[in-house]
Amino acid sequence: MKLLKLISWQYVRKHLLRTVLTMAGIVLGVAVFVGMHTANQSVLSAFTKTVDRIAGATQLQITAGESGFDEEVLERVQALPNVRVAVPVIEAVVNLNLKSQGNILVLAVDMTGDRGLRDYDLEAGDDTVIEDPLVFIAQPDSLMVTREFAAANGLVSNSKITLAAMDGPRTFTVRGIMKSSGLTSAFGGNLAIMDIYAAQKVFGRGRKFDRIDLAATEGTALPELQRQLSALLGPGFEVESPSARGKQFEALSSVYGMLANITSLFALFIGMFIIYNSFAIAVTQRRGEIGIVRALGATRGQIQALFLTESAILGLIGASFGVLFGLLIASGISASLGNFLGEIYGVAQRAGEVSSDPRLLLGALLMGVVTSVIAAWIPARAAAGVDPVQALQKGRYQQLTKGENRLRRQIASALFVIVFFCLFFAQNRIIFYSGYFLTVIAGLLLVPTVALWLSKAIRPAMKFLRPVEGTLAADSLIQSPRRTSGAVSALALSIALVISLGGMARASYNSINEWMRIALNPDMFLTATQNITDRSFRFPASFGDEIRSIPGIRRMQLVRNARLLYKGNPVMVVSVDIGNLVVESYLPSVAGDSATMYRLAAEGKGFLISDNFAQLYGVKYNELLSINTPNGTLTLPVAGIVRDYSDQKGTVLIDRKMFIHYWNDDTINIVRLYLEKNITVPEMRARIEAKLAGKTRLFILTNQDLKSYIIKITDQWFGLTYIQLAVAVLVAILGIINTLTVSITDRRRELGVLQAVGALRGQVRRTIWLEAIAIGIIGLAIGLAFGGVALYYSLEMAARDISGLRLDYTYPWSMAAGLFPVIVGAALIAALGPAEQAVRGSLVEALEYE
Amino acid sequence: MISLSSVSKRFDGKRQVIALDAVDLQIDKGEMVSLVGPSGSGKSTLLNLIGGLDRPSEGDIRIDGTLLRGINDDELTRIRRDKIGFIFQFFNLLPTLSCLENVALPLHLRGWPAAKINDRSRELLSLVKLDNRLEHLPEELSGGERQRVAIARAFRLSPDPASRRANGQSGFEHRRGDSDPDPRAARTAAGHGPDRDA
Repeated sequence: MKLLKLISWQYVRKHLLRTVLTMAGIVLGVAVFVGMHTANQSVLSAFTKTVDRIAGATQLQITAGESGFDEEVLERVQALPNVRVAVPVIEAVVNLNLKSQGNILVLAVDMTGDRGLRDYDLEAGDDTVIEDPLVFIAQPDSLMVTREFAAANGLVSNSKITLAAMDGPRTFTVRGIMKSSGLTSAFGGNLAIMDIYAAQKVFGRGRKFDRIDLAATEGTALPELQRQLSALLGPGFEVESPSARGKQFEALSSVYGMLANITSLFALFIGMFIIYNSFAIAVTQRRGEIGIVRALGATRGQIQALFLTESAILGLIGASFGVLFGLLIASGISASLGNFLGEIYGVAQRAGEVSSDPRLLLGALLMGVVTSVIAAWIPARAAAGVDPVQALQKGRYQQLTKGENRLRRQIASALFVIVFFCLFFAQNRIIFYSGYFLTVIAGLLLVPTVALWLSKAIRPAMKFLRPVEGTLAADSLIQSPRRTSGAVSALALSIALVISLGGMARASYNSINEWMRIALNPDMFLTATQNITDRSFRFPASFGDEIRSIPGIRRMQLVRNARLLYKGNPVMVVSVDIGNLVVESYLPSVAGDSATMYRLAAEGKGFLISDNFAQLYGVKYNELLSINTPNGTLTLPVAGIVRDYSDQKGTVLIDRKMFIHYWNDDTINIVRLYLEKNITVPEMRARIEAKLAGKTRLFILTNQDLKSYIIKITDQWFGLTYIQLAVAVLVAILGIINTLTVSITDRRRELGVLQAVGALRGQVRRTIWLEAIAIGIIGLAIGLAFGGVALYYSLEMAARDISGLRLDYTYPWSMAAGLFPVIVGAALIAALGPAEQAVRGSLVEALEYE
Repeated sequence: MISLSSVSKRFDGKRQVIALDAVDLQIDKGEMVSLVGPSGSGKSTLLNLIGGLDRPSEGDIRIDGTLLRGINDDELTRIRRDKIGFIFQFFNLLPTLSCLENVALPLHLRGWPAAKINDRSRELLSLVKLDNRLEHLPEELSGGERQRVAIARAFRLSPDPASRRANGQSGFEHRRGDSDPDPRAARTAAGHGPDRDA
């Protein structure tokens, strides 16, 4: 402790800027980790709270995926003796186009029985309505809203709200304003209660319910009741506690969670290099000091402990700031994540407040400290190994010894051999990930050697460009590989991350564009919701007939898609008349003959599954696939595997008549229209509006509208990852600033001599700038090469464990070219401060500096 | 010509130290001056001020008639570069540059063409008898050789007898007429007084 105060504290005080920069790596890494995970948790927690608050006294919930089920199921459930109360529910998020928050969660219930489960605590004066629930039901335009929602939108009792319903615009009357309570805080307070039979009409549910909420009679064992209900209803129904819905939501956001993990770990990894670099330099600079302390009697253990304690304290302070910043950015991220999940999966959620898990925060602190200590481990060992006699002699210690460099190269070569063999057994997940890990380690071991080669290679060019400044800058790098390699590694890792994610993005855009060209070729699309991934509103089957009667339509395809559980995973089932679909477009085959697979699927003799479904759940061509439906288990062979990008969780394509038969659901989500040649899209839009305006809720999308929407969602997805990229690049820039700051301190006398013999300030500045640019270019070159390898592994990871989507390997050359000015610019910006520091100091002091 | 008029230098810290107090000095062209005095008497401070490495707290310094007060850093650097040659006590050679590059450095900074720099640097090193050490790094030289490289670097302006004396054993020849810009430039050197320092 005494040593820490006497030696470390003095050093930190003297090099405060460098200490802050070193810590910044950890701050950013931890901030990204905490920010992204807290955002994810907040959204998940908001969902769970909404489920929990809406559940009230509900003990079990019965669902059949998104397709819902017939009313008669309720009677069967209510008939069970152990069921105290069972009530039907329809739940949907709708946009009311009101002045404040547009989206509201509509909970449609049967008010006669529902008060046995939920407590609708009304404002004084409104109780008359609900005291007799029949009054509420007798007026099917009744609506109850929360006090917060009413206040935000200027609503009072008897206010009117018009809602675009499936049977045309409907005006609802606010007949109750609920006091703030558990229930009303669901969905951030944006909650409305409606009568369930009115909701069936509004949302186009037919005679179906989304869910049954129930409570058991006293003394009933819930697991037993759960078993009874499952046996009674069959495998197509899920009987779960309300909290189980959180797990399904979690499964949907798991891709994001995994991405958050990968990138925040990457950011921390980069931060680790900055710490390693700083400590390695500190040990070099403090050799004399270490030598004196050792000569005075300090043991090797004490010296090592001194550096490790320094790093732990640095890690703890950095991680603490990281946690604070993480929590600050979490609310912004959670808002966009909530919207994003709604757009992608149609599961809207609002995260009003940031919900932080103390375990996550503690874990982040620990992660910061551990990262810092690991990073400082090697330099601390080097410090402990300092020989007091040698340390007190003056000389250059920056250079890596030839032996040390050779050892690194030998280890890297051995690792590359192992990696090569790993590629042959990459089907095994452990071997695959080990191969990736070893590639990263081997690459990093080679960084000092490659950086040295590249520094030597660019020296002539730099000398040619600026004889003095260029030579000095290149020599500074050549002479101090240890000083440079940390920053180069950090930069190379960031660039590799940019390239691999950029490559993924490019491959995704290419694949999605190709898929859209083939699969989304209708001229127009009709939907009942603004957002095509939202399935709250559905057209009745009769809607098809109405559209068909409009002249000018060459072909019409009716689509019903629904998210259902397959072995506990929320997958997408898409039903369409396959015989009709295949006339206009068919998805490229991955396994199976196209003509045969579509024929079998059209005849109801097989499923078509998407490539990512096959990847994610290990389903093979021709294998029997079983899907649970409200009418029993549907088991068919996989007639073909196709390339389809419509859902990240995998898609099963079945013929519409099979869906109607097994799910008792003839509603429609989307109508695909192909027009006659003699009619334009605007003309058809006008005809449709003329026929249906005011009669039904309808959104008309052109082919271009839909494609733009899909690209927008894809942009949002990659937008999230670009936030992480920005952080990674920022960390790398910090690395360059750190390195240059150290470089200038190291070369203070050299720069002083340069000025003494006649270098103008501009010439000194250019030397520092050139050094920064050289670090940038070397890091870029290594990063671009490393990125090519990282991209291969990223695509494999995406196919295996993230989305199951197989994307073609395409190196993002244009992005690589774009990175050149970005990195050179960033390096120049990073060099501005240090360069000024180099020219502003006292020349006399610089010349005396040792 | 070097001219100092009432030049003072104070160092402000916890306690103020007056290193030079109203110094007047005139050194004419071709004149050789040695500063001798005990440690702490302000010799280095005076040389730093004359050399344009530092600025006085008070008083005026003129180099060849140019008043140093009020000129900006780059103008001061140009005076250093064009009119002053330094041989530092510890030579201050750049460790990463060869002998030839070290000597060529100030010439590059002046923007001379490469061929002229090369010829002149070789010539200067030949003058200090280091023709066989052109590509050697400073760490590969003896202390005396390093000193000669430092002298050659300073000679870019004027080969001079004072420097010759600094390394009496080498006996290198001084070729008059090669100097640039003026063979009769003023020379100063500082040394400790025999009564105070060993």
